[in-house]
Amino acid sequence: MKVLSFELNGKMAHFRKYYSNSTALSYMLPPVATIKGMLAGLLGYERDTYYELFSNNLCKIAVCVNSPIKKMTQRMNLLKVERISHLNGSAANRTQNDTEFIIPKNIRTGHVSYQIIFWHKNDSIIDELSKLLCNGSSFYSSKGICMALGSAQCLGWIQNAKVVEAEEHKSTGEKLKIFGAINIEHLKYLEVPESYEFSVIKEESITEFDENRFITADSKKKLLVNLLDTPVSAVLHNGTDYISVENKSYLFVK
Amino acid sequence: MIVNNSEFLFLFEGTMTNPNGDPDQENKPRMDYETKTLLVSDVRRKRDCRDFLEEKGYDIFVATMNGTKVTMDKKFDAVLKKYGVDGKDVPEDKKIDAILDNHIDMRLFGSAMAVGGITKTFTGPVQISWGYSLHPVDLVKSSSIVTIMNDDSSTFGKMYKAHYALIAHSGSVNKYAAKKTRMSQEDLSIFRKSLVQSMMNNLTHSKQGQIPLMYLEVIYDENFDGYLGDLRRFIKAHYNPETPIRSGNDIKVDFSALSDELNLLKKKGYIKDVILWKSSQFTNVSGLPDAASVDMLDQIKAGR
Repeated sequence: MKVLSFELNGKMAHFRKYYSNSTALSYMLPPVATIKGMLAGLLGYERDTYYELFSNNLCKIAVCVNSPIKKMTQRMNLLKVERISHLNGSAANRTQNDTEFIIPKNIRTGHVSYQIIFWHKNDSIIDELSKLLCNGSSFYSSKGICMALGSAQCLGWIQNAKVVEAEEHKSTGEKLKIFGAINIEHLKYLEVPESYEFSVIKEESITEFDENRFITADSKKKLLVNLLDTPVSAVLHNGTDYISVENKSYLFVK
Repeated sequence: MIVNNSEFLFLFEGTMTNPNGDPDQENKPRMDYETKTLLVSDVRRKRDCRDFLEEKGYDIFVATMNGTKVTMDKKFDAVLKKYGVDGKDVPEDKKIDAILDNHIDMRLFGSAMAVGGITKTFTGPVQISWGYSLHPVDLVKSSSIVTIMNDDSSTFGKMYKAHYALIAHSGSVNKYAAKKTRMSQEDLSIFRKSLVQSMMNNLTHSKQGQIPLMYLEVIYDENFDGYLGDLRRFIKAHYNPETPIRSGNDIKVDFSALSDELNLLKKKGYIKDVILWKSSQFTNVSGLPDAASVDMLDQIKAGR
């Protein structure tokens, strides 16, 4: 299958957890729905207009951490908005909100980097994106948004984008070295060396919305995430689909 | 009308100052303690710009009215009345016109806004990243009298400042978002100057000691729809990691990787212009890109 593989990079990221509007906790990985929004934005789609075109039936995404990341909490002094009329800061008090940011080990010398593998049923979407992104140089192009990792101020960039052939496989119970996020339901056995114990976490990902901007029954996925750029040794349930791209194995989040 | 994407770098230094306090950490400067990197939020920069432009007589949307907090409804009514578009018969888009046409901060930074019960979100064409120091930073703590209530009781508080920090923000201007908020070339020119000048005019206790050092902007060609994204990854800071950094003399900033990237894009015809303002105090630099010199200290004309 033809996939688009690229690095999503930035100095800081914030991927807001969906279940609270009073805290600003962040996922470690960009949720799949967020990645779809970025790609739609690059293609020039307006907010809330692309959910059908990027539904789980039509496209699949794998995500992997390319370099070690960490979380940092900063408390922000925000407007307290309980009704629309408070949007200009007219409420009596402000609200102090713990905001989590994803940053690299050293923000001065490094950056947050995710490897994204994107497949779409409609080849023309991949072709269009490759025209914008696959240029062999440091820049990226956009028909709409400025690339940002979650929040608009977390400006980022896309690099090393290429269209490559992904081999499709089905697991037969063998031990595999898997890069990136793994749906927990597909996982039969996981081998975590002691030194990696603190780098493997459980996280969830919202993958799609319906046309009314509600999450669908198929949207929420439980993931195992490795925060290092190394693969984990895992055994998947028999018959689980996985792909290999440039000799690395990934699972689509689905 | 803005028809070009652009990206900018803004560098400033702070000596014995607190560029951006964290309210939950005794108002200590924001830091990543593991690497001793000082951080400054994007909203700090935008607030500086808004306050400065308001002083200059510009109508600012995300602000109080004559120093008093008023509800957004009241602010709307006042704004709509001022521009003669109040009343139920006036169509929605006329009201939105009045808000955008008369508030430079809406055109630059966007906002969630509400007119007559209809909510609309405008994404700001100008986005500024969090700034970070290009080197490890040491904090200074002092206990001092922060309030004197009356003759026999005053409060001692802790106050934190950074010894010295050279901080870089990166940012971008998006031509598509600019179309929606109707940001003009003149708005952009006012923004650049306000970014530099607002810092020089914010002389509160915690902010004194901040000096703008450099503003560099890459203006892309009209026919180029791209960005490099975060220009700070192409600049390199050299310093002795063994000794503390106490002034600009202890750090040298090399822009040659950025110049190389810009030259490549120039050859492809993707860059229209590179403009640069550099303070005469910022001397420890090398490899700066070829750029047209622009005066960012030129006075911003007064708003209405």
